[in-house]
Amino acid sequence: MTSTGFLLWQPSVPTERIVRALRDADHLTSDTVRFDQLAEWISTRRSWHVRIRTVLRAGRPRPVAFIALPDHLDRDLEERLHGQLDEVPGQRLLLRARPELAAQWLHRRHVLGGGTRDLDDYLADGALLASLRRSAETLDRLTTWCDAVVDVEHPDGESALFLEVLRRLGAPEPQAPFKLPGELPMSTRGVEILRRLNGYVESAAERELVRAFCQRTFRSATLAEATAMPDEQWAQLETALSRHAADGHAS
Amino acid sequence: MRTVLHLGAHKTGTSLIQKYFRDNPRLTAEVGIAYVPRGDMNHLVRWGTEAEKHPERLRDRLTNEAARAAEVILVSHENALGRPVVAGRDGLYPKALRFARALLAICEQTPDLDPHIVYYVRPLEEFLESYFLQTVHQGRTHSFAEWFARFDPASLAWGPVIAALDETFGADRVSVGDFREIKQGQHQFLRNFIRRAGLPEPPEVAYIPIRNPSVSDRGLRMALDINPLLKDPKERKAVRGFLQRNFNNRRETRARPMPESVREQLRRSDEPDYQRLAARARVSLGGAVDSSA
Repeated sequence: MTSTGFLLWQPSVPTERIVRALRDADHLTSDTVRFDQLAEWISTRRSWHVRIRTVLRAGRPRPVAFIALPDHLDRDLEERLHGQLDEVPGQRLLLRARPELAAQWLHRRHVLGGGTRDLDDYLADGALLASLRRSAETLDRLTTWCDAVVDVEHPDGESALFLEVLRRLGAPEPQAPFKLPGELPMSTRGVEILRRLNGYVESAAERELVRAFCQRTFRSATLAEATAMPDEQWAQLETALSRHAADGHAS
Repeated sequence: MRTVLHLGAHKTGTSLIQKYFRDNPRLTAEVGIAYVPRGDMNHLVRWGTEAEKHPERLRDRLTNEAARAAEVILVSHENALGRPVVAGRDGLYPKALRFARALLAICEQTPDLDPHIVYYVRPLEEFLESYFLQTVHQGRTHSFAEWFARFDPASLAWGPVIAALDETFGADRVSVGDFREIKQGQHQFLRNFIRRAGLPEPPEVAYIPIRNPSVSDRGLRMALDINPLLKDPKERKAVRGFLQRNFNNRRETRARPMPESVREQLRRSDEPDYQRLAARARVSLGGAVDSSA
């Protein structure tokens, strides 16, 4: 029997286009599960592996289960997830990002949702840092449980990342040339422009208007551009996260 | 051949006039008007400099237009006399005399050309505020106070600009227009221009309503906040269009960046000069229009 691939990915990091490309790949049979569904199945003792087996019985090649992880996993739920997944043989692949990128991407989500706080202000929120730290700890544990971990910041770009994920899942590569689906994300400059404009909007309709405009106008050509930041800002992020981690462990 | 040079000023309805003639080539050709579109004039005059550096380009174009058996040639570009204000230089359009002379030289070198100038003015305080907003539309990041501090307000007046044109072409060849005539509607504004310029009137003088509103107070603040982050003209154009469409003075409070004290001071200093020019504008229409209505 063809083995199952499990692709787990970290939330709030730039993986949308990769996951969508994998879902669209016709040589894969995918079944995507939102984490809240998975949590419900686990908590109601409905078996996750039954679901996977249904996919397997469909007789299509390369079944892959896509699992979007939550911002952070409850420890108990995490144990149960491991237990359920352990019952199904397969390649477990984790798509993850370094914590600084996750923090940057969370800030982006804040701005896309109409937020006006700049990155410094956003990181001053202790609850956010605590959440990021718990998320990183969960991911560290998942790292040991997974067969492979792939960093979303592939040195050769998103297409190369897509191919690497396929290889790791044991799936054949698509015919070249291929194009990743979906829109490229806004550049970091676009996010800053949107953040400033958010400070002037007076209604939900206006918020949507400026968001759509910025998304159209300040699209980045590559993922690297979408996440580009000056070195000092990355260093600042790293310091904030490591300081909080140290504080957390000390307490 | 009568050749009408419509030279501005900025912010006095030049876009409406240029778009009407650009978009109605058949109507205007029917009555014998050969129009040189603004897009072409961009290359031929730029900010007045091109007519000075490469006069042969505009001269050749005018020669070609004259050969097309038209009755009258119309060229229009508000940049032809240079920038309205220049940091460190006194006066409105401080290079007007220099560039007007360059234009006259071109006309004199072109056989059988009979140049006539049409120049619109508007109250100084409105003009300066509107031009400041245009600089922000175009991507600048200065406040009104920062921008205005670069000029000597006492030196800003329309009189010397018109005097430069009169001196160069002769006052009988310079028709002054009053932008306040726009209050009579854009169709009448176009008819007035045609009459003032001595052009044959096309069978239909009408144009789709120009929707070119200025940004609102909020739109201005948005522009000033994000302009420093824009990187090229394409982005600046996109932002300008977005703000003009969605955060404009038709929907919400008009942007009035000029302090009231400055407005009042300019109004007082401009009024005698402006009254004189407004009277001249009425004469250029045969005294039929009350532009201050």
